[in-house]
Amino acid sequence: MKDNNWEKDLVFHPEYQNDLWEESYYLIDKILKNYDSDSDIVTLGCSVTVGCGVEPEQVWATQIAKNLNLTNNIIAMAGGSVQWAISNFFSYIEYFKKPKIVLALFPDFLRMQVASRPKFMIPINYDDQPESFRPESHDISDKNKVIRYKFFPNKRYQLDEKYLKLPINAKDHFPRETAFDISIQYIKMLEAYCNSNNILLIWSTWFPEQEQWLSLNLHKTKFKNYIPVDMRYWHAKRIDDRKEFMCENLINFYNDKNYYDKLLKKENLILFSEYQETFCDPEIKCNSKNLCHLEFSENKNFYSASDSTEKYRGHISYHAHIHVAEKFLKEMEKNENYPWNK
Amino acid sequence: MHYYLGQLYDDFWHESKFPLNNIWWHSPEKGQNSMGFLSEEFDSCADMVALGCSYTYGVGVEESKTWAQIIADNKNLKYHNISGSGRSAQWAINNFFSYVHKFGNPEIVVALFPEFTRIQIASNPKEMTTKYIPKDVEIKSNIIRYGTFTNKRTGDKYFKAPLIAEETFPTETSFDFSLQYIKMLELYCNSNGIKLLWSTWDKHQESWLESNIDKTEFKNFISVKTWEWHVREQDNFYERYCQKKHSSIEVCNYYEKCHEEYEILYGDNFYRASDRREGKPEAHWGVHVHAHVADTFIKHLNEMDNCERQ
Repeated sequence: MKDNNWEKDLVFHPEYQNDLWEESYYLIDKILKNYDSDSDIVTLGCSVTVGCGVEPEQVWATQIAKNLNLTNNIIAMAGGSVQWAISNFFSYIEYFKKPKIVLALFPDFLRMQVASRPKFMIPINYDDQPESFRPESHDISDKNKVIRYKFFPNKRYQLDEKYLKLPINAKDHFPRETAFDISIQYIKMLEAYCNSNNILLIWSTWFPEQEQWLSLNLHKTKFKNYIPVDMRYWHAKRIDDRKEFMCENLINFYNDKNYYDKLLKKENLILFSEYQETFCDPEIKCNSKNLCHLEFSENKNFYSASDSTEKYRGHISYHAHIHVAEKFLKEMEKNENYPWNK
Repeated sequence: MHYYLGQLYDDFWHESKFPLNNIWWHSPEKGQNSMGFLSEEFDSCADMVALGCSYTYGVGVEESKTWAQIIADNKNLKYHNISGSGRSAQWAINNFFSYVHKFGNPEIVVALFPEFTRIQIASNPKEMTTKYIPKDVEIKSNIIRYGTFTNKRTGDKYFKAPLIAEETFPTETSFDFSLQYIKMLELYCNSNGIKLLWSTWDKHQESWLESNIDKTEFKNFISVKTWEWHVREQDNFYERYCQKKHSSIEVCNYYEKCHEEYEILYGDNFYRASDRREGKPEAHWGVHVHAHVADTFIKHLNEMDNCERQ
């Protein structure tokens, strides 16, 4: 069955381009409203960098800025993708002075920010969601108005669905491989821009398996500005009251030369599971805790983020934020301009 | 079920590096360098790099007498051509960043982009594929990468797995990506002292950009005025540089006599592309249009040179 108006509708005419441009997520206006002035540091990221689950002063990037007495503008959004953060950074520098430093803690490379018209593609299958769940950006009342939204592509499309009908839902049917390609292309462009403009760029990812893969394959990727922040060594278990610990078992596991072989022998392996307890017996309290920074242990969120629940691990704890900040600071110390004090 | 994301990353990374040029079901074409570009070997950075699609690649013109080659000849520049038939702005710009990563910055970048609704995507062929794969090609790879035209939807309301990218990838997303990549190219070139000029051969797009340039805030766009040319059957499908309106049956005799040196050299290919067939509405340009496009770029490059001197 065909919609006879469809092709006519999509002809590349000026009105259509106006419509596309109108909401184009350069988001320049929104970006400008967020910042009062230039800053020494610009930080890019997602919810971890926004500070979900911790206090604003506990966020890794804020700790770094405070430590070095530098100003910091944060370009981050909960659920934001690599592509979202970097495209907004490029919009930012059109209006603000180039920063001296760009720090980034990226999520998994599979997240996407896309645009579509609701008559053709919608973010998720709304049949499975209550009306109240729908974010503002998911206003699909006008089926022809372009909407822009973030989503996490499912790990595999629903291949059992032999036939699909419009509108397609992005979460299930947008190719993850494209999302991955786009993310690495954006990072490559960010590196090229910063390195050629004498901006110190250091980036990492909190996503454990991605970090592990990058650590093993950095020569292949040819990325120049990546550092691992060792988030893959942390776990949180119910039996530990969901407290986050850097676990020696995980360190040993990931650093084993036979990592791949061991991994593939695991039965029913699901890494980055909610509690990432694959390499410690879930029934035994973790006694290989790397106990450090105890001087901060009385602070709120030290052991687990405030959004950690029985069912959801939540974001990273204040303690993990401290470690992330330290990793970045250690790398920054190598720069000839360190500590950039005015 | 085993689910190890790192294995997927291995797959994802495969072929995602430079050059993103290997259309895996195509054989290398005559004149392509070892990286698959229709250019001399990329051994060191050129003075000028040209980005684009089939127009820049040289489809339809003999001896690669493309607009970019004419610029390079005119200004006596060493030039590398990063273009491919059917390719998108995103593909060309991504390859440009790989090029500078490997060879450093050129002095000049010129680009002639296609419609913004093209995109280079990757997918698992069991889930999404392209209608342009020849039927006799067996797909063995877990991931395929291909250019897609997302403005050619068929109007179907129902789809069968595997999905066809041309029918199911959102046009609006391709458009957004193209704009973002161009924005990043502009910022990179402008902050590195690279002279960048870009345009598009798509008439509607070019016309929209010209009248909305303030809104877009693009800094390096120039118009090559492709809408000033027309091709009609009664004119023997010759391309005419014409701003006059004609009746539908009138033969157009309005064209300025220019670029005669190319007319002598290229004969019929001067007036129309070699892929122009009677009755076929879509084809590339003849040498004459390439020469005019090159003239526009050269004029703007000279102006930039003059500004520098002042």
